[in-house]
Amino acid sequence: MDVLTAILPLHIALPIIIAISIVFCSLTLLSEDRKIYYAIEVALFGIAAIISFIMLWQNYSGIFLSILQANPFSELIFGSLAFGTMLILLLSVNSRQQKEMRLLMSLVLFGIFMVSFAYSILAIIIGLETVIIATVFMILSNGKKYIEPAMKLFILGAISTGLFVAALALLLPYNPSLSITATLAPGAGKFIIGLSLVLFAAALAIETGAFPFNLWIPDVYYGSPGNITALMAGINKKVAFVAVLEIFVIMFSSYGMYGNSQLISTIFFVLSIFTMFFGNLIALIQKSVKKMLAYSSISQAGYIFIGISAATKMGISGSIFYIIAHMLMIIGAFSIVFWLESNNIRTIEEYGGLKDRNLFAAVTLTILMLSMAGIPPLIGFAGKFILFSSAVYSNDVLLAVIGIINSFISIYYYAKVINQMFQKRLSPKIQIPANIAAVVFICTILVIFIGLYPQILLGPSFLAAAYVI
Amino acid sequence: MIPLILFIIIPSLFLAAIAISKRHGRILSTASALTGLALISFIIASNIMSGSAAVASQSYSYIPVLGIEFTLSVSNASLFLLLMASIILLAASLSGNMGLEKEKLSSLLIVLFQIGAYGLFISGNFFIFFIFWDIGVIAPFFMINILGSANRRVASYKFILYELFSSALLLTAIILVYFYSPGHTLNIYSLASQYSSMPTYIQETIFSLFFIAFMINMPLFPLHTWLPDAHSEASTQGSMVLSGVLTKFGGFGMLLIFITMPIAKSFSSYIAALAVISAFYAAFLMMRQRDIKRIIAHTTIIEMSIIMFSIATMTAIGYEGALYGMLSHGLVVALMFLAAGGIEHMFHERNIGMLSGISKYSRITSYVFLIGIFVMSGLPLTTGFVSDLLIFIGGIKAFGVYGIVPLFSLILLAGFMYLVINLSFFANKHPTRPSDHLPKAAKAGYAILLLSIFIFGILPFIVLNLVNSSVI
Repeated sequence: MDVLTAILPLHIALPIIIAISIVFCSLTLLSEDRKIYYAIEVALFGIAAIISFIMLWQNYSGIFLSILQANPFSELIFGSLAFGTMLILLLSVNSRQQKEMRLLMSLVLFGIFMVSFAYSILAIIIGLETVIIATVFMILSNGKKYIEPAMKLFILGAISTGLFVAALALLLPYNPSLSITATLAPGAGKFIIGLSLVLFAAALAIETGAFPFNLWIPDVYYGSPGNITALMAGINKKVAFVAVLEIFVIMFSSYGMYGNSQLISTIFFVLSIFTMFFGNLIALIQKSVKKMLAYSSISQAGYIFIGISAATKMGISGSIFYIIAHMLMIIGAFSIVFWLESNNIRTIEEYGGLKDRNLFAAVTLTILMLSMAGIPPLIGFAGKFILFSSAVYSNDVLLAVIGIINSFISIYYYAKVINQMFQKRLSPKIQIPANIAAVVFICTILVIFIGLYPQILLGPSFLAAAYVI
Repeated sequence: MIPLILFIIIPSLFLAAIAISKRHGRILSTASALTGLALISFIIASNIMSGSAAVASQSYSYIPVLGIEFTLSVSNASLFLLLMASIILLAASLSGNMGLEKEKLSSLLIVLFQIGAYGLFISGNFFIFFIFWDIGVIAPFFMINILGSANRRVASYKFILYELFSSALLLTAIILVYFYSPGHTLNIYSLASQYSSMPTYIQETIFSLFFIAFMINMPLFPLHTWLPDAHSEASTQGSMVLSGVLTKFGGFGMLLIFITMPIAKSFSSYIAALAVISAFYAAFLMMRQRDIKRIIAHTTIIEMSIIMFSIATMTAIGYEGALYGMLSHGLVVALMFLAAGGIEHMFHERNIGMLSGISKYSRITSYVFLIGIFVMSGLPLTTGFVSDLLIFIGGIKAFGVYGIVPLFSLILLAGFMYLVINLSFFANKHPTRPSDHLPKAAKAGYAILLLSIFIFGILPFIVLNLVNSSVI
């Protein structure tokens, strides 16, 4: 290992892998498609994730290329999200435009890389934009009937970027280096910085689907093909959360504006409460499972905000833990939805008797949903326990209680689906394709395993949180 | 002391074995319960031999960043309940679900429940307690939802909502305990000395949250409405473990908070009054029931209310009575649900109005049912007598003459049950004809439960010696 790192420093290895992946996809775009290309691409994603975890294991940190920095936080996030992207790539093996899908997925990986290793705000905005544009084209590549969700996503992404840039413009005079760890230049007006903060909040609230800006989420999620929904819920949104952590926690705390009972904490307190209630209450009345999961993923975003609102190391590590946990759960759940969608099974009613159609899918979906509802000993419980505890630690008992009430509400609609799936219906068996089964299996195993032994992810999360706050 | 983690590892291995194997589900689940029983008996025997009564704890590193350890402890109370749970699980897995095909699934669920129950009773800290609490709730949910009878969907839905509401309250309480305890400990037994250093209003909040959570599970009036549906719609095995073991989760929790939290003293008399109301309310409700499983479900509410009353006396003898009551009630209610399952299997009928003189064709089941009623009404030589004796001595010690009041709800219970059994079991005018035979396995289940009822009834000191020194 030492010899290897001497020849090729690890932080350089990652961009090289991504570059290889993009070049490789561009080249194979022109030639005839073969299965092996897809396998190589999946392997490249896997290697990227593994390198990132090796960097985490070695506690690697440093600044490179002057707009990127490596530290345990970025390594943990990038490793997990690259792993998630690999799962999505595996999920889309049989999609319509394989070659394009591969290339766009590599661009998404590039975006994740830029955001998670960001040292400059520029890197964050480049990364966010790349991810969104790539996703828009991914949706479009599936055919003409997907123009509507693609358009919605594009416009919302553009609005978000506009707000982001406006916020950046307000900040620029007082932080010309654009580094996220720099302190403010003297003479910064409180009002200007506050306005910039609010614009940042709005821009990122659109992308994370926080309360007043989340109406696009169900439409776009419902309208897009299932594998891309999994990408949006599992990866895009998490990238936005990483940006939230970097902007609000790292950057504004170096301005001395982040801390318990400060303005940012209050903003996230309110956002968290409304986001949780909005997502959960509307999910209650959904008939389509995909829409229900879309609303539930909105409410799950609220839980992640609890940790940011708590503004302690415990809270931030809880948020990081839950970002990764929710990525695993939602990718698994949407994979099953994606597969059933291709068999024309959409509403909760149609999910009835799923256990007779395919026992594997019914059992894994049950486990994933129970985990999202926060039932121990699954990963969702471990995450929620830390988040709610962190809220109590920073004297926000109200937030913890609301969180617990919300996870109780969510049980109502998850149990509705579970209840349906295990009813007896006379229905023909359907086969689950091997690639989807593999994705679902990996997610479920990780959900159970990390749930049983949370230390394996909590330790790195605490390590990462130390670099954030 | 043997490693306590065996109580979780061994059923988990059996769970995996059942999941892999195509057949033999029932044999494997029986073996799992039998191993559990052997482990318990070994610990109890060695504890009695050596005369040690202290809480034995074993800790493993679990989540060091939060300071949470995987602590397993056995106190005398938990030994008691483990013994009861093992016997019931053995009987339930041996007798199986009569007339139901899904052997593999039911064996899987019962072993999963075994993990939950064992883990809960040996958990040494609240984090572990909560994890196993929810495992213990999820397994019965499927026992109702998939294996249950006609009205199972509504019943299972009601069950899961009530139970998970209770666990939400429990989680809130646990987080508060974690935050307010000096040193952020969650250890159930070492917290006893730390509660008094918390502010009074926090103690009151924590106690109330714990109390309502456990009250839903036990259950007490007015939060009992899930129980009759859930217990009557579950499969036979499901009813046995739901009534026999799951309701004891709440009982165990009540015992823990009443013994460890000093603030309990200021609530105890109100809780005792609530328990008495609950017992009588359930007794009157029971008289309106016609479904035999619903009748038994209501007796569970009565008995658990009386156990709550006994805990609320806050005397040593009351705690002993509550423990013995839980042992007695667990065994007898499992026996009666098994007998009710046998009747349902044989006659395809649960309405007592439609059954008459069934003792002619199902002699064994009818007499087993009769013995069950004897035990519930406290016949000497059975566990019911010992538990009632302890409970009402405790009641009189704590509340004077009023301590005897709940006994009348037991009289109502016994009176109504004798009426039922007279009408549908022994009135010999137009005997209902059975359409099926009682499986041999069910008889083995009867034998195990009856044997333990009489052993612990005739020789109560076998287990009472355990708690003589201290309950936990």
